[in-house]
Amino acid sequence: MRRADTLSLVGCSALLVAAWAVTEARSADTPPAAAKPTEPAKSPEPVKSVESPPVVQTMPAKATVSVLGKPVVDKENKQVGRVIDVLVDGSGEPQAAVLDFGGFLGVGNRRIAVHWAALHFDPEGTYPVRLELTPDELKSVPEYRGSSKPAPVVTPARVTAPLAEAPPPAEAAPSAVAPSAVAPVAGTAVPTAVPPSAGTSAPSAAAPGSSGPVLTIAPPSTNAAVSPTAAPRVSTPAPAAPPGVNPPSPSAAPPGANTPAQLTAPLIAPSATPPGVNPQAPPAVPPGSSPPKN
Amino acid sequence: MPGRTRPSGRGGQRALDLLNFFLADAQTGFGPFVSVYLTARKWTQIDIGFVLTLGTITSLVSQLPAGALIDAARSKRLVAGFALIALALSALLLALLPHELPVMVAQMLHGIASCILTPALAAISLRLVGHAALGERLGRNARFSSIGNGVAAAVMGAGGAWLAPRFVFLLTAGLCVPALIALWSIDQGHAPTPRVAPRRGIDWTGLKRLVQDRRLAIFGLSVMLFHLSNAAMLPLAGSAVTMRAGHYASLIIAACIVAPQVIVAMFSPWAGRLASTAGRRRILLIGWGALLVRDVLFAVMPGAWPLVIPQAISGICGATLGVALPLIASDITMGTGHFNLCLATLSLPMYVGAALSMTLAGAVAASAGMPVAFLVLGAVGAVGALVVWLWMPETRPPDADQGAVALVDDGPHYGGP
Repeated sequence: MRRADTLSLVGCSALLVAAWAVTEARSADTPPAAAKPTEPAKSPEPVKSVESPPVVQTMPAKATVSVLGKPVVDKENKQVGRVIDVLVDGSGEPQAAVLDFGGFLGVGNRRIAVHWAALHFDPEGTYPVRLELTPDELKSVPEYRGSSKPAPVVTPARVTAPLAEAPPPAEAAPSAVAPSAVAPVAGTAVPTAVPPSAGTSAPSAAAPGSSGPVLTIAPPSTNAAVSPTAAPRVSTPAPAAPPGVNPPSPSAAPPGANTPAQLTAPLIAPSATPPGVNPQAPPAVPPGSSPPKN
Repeated sequence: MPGRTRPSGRGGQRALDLLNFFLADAQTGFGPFVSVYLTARKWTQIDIGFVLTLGTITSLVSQLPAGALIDAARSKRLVAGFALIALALSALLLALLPHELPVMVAQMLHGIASCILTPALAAISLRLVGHAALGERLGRNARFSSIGNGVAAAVMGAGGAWLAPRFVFLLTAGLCVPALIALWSIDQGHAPTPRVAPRRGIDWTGLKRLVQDRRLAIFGLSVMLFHLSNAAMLPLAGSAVTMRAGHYASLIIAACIVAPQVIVAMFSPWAGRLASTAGRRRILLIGWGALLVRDVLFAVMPGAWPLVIPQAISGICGATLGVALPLIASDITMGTGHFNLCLATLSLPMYVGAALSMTLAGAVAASAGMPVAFLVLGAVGAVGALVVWLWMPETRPPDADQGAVALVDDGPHYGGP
């Protein structure tokens, strides 16, 4: 069982984590500047699948992060929880991570979902999984109660992306909708519940959502409907390359390779986030959270 | 057989203190921490839930047989020794082989070992000091287990920050060694031995008589209500703390775990003496009443740090129940040789109450909010107090000194599976 887990983790990590982890590792090599803070640094990595006979590829050691069960630290290297699950959408792209948050010796901990973009991965570091939110910003988040119910997802204010590809302008809405529950000091973090339907909309769908810290992932039933998502995503490769926000397009999976569209999708889609967002990312981290409290 | 002399040497008492201390130390690692540990070992929540349930079911099923076994065993010490070894084995399995099958085995071993150890310790205490002094001895037991729990939680908390989670289980296994040594240095039994045990494995007539005992039924009901009110409290308080405090949450929760242990350590010897002098009913009423006070405080306390106060009060509840439960069991079964069977019977309502407690608290907290959940649990505690007040008879034998006489050994006995 454990072994199977490990195997499948190794196997799936290309799908689940590669976009983040691998690129981080790479970007560390190539453009050192963009390395750490640039969270959505994703360069397509050489995942090629040959149609007829499956090929065994070797992934370099320490190129990926095995996320399940990993401690998650905050900016000050203090452990805030552990990753216990990863929520992916219909196309297999990670939307959120479920953390076992807080507590002491198993008392007082609870499961919360955080936006995938709030996690930063460093395969070679001492703390491979880092969360850009502080415990104070997470404390009052409602519990995650399984994928069959709408899931409150903590989202850093700067990230407007995947869950509800909300254009930044939607900024105004949140405070109105805000349930008082989640109100971190900075005021940057104002909770917003996005209607389930909106929650699942494809990245490019530009559903008017929110930039508030709590988005909502809809139950699977709605998620299934996401299949349309696949189409837009697959089509995004083109825009993805140009933004070049992030590193080497060299490794950009030679589109020529008959890599199934779905395979490339997760790698590329994230960078489909409004190009504007990424550049802002590095600075956004400090400002986004330094006001709250460090 | 040693003669029926006056209770126990000092050495035996001291060794029993240490046994309680080390055993509680060792048991701390098996609490909610198991799920933290398995999470860190990449177990999915479903698998974790499964093995934890397996452990619970195992201990639920083996309660009665374990009680009967200890009643029938010639040497309670030997049985307890085997249970301790099983406990160490279980901890080692968890530490070294965190895979599906070994962990399942470990959980089952732990379940069986626990439901042998708890009554066995009470039986050893009873045998060491006799019925008359049992109240005080149980108070001492509770004191040293609490110190053990508190110290273990502190060490695990500190160690967990720097060391691998498996360290906790290695430590647990290691602690079983001094526990075994302490167990072996308790005198086999100066005290009168309550050995009118059944001739064969499970004594059904004895069990039947027990179940029909009205006092036991009432006490069982109130124990059920107590745990229904109590079991979910720490987790609920813990999540209240994590909801309100960010950075210091784990520190506050640590305080919530340790504070009641300190209170139990201070309060339980007194509770034991009070039970002997003023009667069992009184301390039950104190304990069950404290439950209500605590829950109301929980509901009204603002912020995170103040939650430690009601949690400390729960130490009073813990101390009284820790003393009263074995004491009342020994009252009810005095001279029958069914002490452990009775303890096992009482653990069934305990499990039921505890299991329902989590469900009840979770449901109420989700739908009506945490303060309401605290109040509902408090109301359940109040009903328990009412049950004790209205129906629970005093079980203390008219003359406390009679205990020693009533527990006369009926001659050699070789029963036991």
